[in-house]
Amino acid sequence: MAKQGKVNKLALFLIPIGIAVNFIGGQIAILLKLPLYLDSIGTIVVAALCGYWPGIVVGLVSNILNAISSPTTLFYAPLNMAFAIVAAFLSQKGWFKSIWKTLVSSIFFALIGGGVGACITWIVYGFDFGSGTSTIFSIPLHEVVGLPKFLAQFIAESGIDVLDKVITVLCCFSIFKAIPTRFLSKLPLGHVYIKDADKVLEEAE
Amino acid sequence: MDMQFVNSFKSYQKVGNFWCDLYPLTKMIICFSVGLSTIVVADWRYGFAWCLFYFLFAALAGCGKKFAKVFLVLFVVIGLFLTVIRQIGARDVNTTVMFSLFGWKWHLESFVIAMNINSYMLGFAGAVLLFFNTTAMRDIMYSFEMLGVSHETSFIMLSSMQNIIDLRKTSVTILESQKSRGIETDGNVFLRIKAFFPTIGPLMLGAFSSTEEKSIAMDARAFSVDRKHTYIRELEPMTGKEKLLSAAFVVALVALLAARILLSILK
Amino acid sequence: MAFIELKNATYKYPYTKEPALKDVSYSFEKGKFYGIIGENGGGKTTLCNLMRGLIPHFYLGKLTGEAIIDGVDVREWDTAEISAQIGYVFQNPFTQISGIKETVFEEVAMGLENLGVPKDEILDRVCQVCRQLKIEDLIKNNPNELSGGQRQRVAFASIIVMDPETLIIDEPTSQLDPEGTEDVFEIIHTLKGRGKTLVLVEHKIDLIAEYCDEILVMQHGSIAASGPTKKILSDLSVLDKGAMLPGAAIFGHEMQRAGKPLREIPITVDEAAALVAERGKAEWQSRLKTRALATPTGLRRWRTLTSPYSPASGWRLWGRTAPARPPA
Repeated sequence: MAKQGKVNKLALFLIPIGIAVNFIGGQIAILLKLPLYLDSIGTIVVAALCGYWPGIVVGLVSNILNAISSPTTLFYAPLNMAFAIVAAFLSQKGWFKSIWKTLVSSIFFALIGGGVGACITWIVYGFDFGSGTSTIFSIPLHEVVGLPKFLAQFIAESGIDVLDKVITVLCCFSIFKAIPTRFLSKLPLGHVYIKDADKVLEEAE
Repeated sequence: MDMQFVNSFKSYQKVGNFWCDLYPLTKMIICFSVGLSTIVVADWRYGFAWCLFYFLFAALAGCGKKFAKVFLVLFVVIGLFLTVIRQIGARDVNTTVMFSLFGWKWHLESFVIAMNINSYMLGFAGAVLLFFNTTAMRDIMYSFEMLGVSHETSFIMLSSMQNIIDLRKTSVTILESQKSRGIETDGNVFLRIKAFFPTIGPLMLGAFSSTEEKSIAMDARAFSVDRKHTYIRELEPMTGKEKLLSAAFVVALVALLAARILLSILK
Repeated sequence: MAFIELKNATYKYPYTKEPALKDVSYSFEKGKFYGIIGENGGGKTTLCNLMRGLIPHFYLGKLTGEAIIDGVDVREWDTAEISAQIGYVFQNPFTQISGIKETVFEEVAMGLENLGVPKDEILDRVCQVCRQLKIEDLIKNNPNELSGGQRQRVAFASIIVMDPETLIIDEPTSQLDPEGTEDVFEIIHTLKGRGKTLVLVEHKIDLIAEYCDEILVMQHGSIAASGPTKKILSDLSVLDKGAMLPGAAIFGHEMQRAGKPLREIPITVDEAAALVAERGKAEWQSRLKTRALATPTGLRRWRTLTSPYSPASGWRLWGRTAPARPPA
C-alpha cells in the first residue's frame, strides 16, 4: 500500500468507494432485516474490475475501519483479502461474464469464507468454538451429529456463507453488466467486461 | 475572518489533554503493545485489570461515555456469549460444579477457560477501541505520511470514511424512495432480498460514475503532482520522553512473550 | 499570444462510432474571456477536456491533428503538471470537494499543500481567496456538509487559490438553485477583473453576453460559428446552430420586425435600455406608452410579453428577474 507508484488512476478512486460499499451493503442488509452479511460486495467488485492489489486493499482497509467500532473484526481481515484474490483470479478467467459461472463462483467464496473463517475463529478463540451466529449450527452439528468441533465450525460457517455469497455475486454480476463501456475501458480489468458489439467498433479503426 | 482559527495552524495542533496530545504513533505503540500483551498472557486477572485501566484512561481523555458504550456492548456480545458457549462446548475438562441454573450445571473449569479467552479478546479489543476513540484518523495518517507512507494511502483511508457517511445517507434515501414506489421491504425474506438489489445497484453505479469526475477534480488540485507536500496542520513530533515510553512498552511486550515461550518450553 | 492552439483537432472517444470533435481549429489568447455555447452533445465538454490535457491521456481514444498548450503538444504534457496549471471547475459541486479535509480552510489549502508551497504563504493566500469569494464565515465549517452553492464557491476558491493562468469553467451553475447561481456569477465577475484567461461553458446566455470577449458555438462536434461576442450574439442565424440568443438581442430583432429598428442590435439589458432611450429621445419622446418602455420595468414587461423566445421559467439576468410570460 505504501508504494503504489503508477497505480491506475481510476482504481485509486474506486478503492474508497469499494470500502464504503462493503459497509453500506451490510447496513442495508440490517435495514432490510436480512440474516446475511452482504459485506464483501465492494471487495469483489473492485477486485474483479481492478485486479489483485486494489481488491486486497479494499478488503484490508474495510476490516481496519470496521475495527474502529468492533476491533475483533481485525482478525478476519485475511478473509476479505482472500475474497479479493479469488475474485481477481476468476475475473481474469472471464467467469463473471456468465451467470452460471458466477453462481458457481459463489460456492468458492463460501468455501473460502467457511474455511479461512473457521481457521481464524479456531485460532483466535483458543482452538474451540467462536462466538457468533455460526455457533447456532456448529454446536448442534458437534453435539447431535457428532462431528469433530473444527469440521462442525467449518460446515456451519460455509453453510451460512452460501446464501450470502449467492446474493453477493449476483449483485456483482448485475453491476458488471450495467457499467458503461466508456468507464470500463479505463479500468485495468475492464476489457474483460466490454461487450463484443462495442469491441467491433474499436477494431473497425 | 476568524484569525484566531487561521493562526491556530501556525503552531502544533493541541487539545490540551495529556493522553490525546501524545503523538499518534506513541499512542498506537502503547495501545497495541498492551493489547497484544493480553493475548500473550491470556490470563483473566491480567486482561481484565487492563480493561479497567482502559475505562479509566478513556475517562481521563474525555471520551469515557462514548468508549464505555461501545466497550460494554462488546462485553455482552463477546464475553457473555462465549461464556455460555464454553459451558456447552468445553465439557471434557469439567470436574467442579460452580452452581446450577435451572438444572443446568455450570462448571468452574470451562468458566475459567472462557474467562481467559474473554480477557484477551476484550483486552485486545479495548486497546484498539481506546486508540481509535482518542486518535483522529487524519492524525494517524499524518503520522504515517511523516514515516514516508504515500498520500494516496491517506486519501484511501480518509476518503473511505467520508464515503461511508455519504453513501449511508444516499442508501436511506434510495430505500425510502423504493418503498414509496411500492417495492416490498417488509415482506418475507425473499421479498426483502429482492428489495436489496434495486437499493444497492443504483447506489454503487452512482458512486462509481462519480469517481471519474473525482479523479479529474483531485488532479486539478495537484493531487498527482509528485512534489514534497506542505502540511498546514502539524502535530508535535515524538518527544524524547515519548520515544522512551514507547520503547518501554515494546520491551515489556517482548519480555512477556519471551517469558511465555520459556514457560511453555519448561512445562 | 496564443495560449491554446488547436489545428484540425479531431477526437473520438474509445468504443464510439462518431468522433466527438471534428476538425476543430481555434486559437485561444492569453487574457481573453471565451464563451462556449451550443446544444447538448455538441462537443462543448469534449473541447474543454482537450484543453485541459485530459484528452487523450485520461479519456484514451484517438486524437488527430494538433493541440498545443503553452507551446507544447498536449500528447507530450505530463497530465499531473498540466492539470495543476490549468484550473478547472465543473458542474457537480459534490464531486469537487475532496472529502478528506474537515474544514473549508484546509480544503481550500489542499492544492497548495500538494504543490509544497511554504506554510505561511499558504495561510496568506487562502485567507485572501476566502475573503474574495466571501466564504470567510465558512472557513471552520465541514466542507462535506455545505449546500450545493456553498460547495461550488469552495470549489472555485480551491482552484483560484492555486492562481492558474487559465481557468476552464464547465457549466458551473447547471445544478445550482437561483441563489447558488447568483454566487457563481459574482465569482466570474471577480475573475474577469483579474485578467485571467477564461473559458466558460454556460447555457445562461445572458451571462455569456455580459462578460465574454469571444464566443464559440459548438454543433455536432465542430465550431459552427465563432467570433466577437457582439457579432455572434446579435445574429439570428445562431438560433439555427442550436444556441440561444440573449433576451435583449431578441428584443432588438423584434423591434426591427415591428418597423421600429434600434441603431444596432443590443445583447445586454443595459445596452437595450440605452438604445431604446436613444431612440425614444429622437422619436417617441412624446408618446406615453414608449416612455414606459424606456424604464427598466417597462422594458422587461414589454419584452416578456412580446418575445416568443421567452422561456417558461422567466428571465434571469444578473439578479434581475422578470416574470414568466403568462400562458397564452
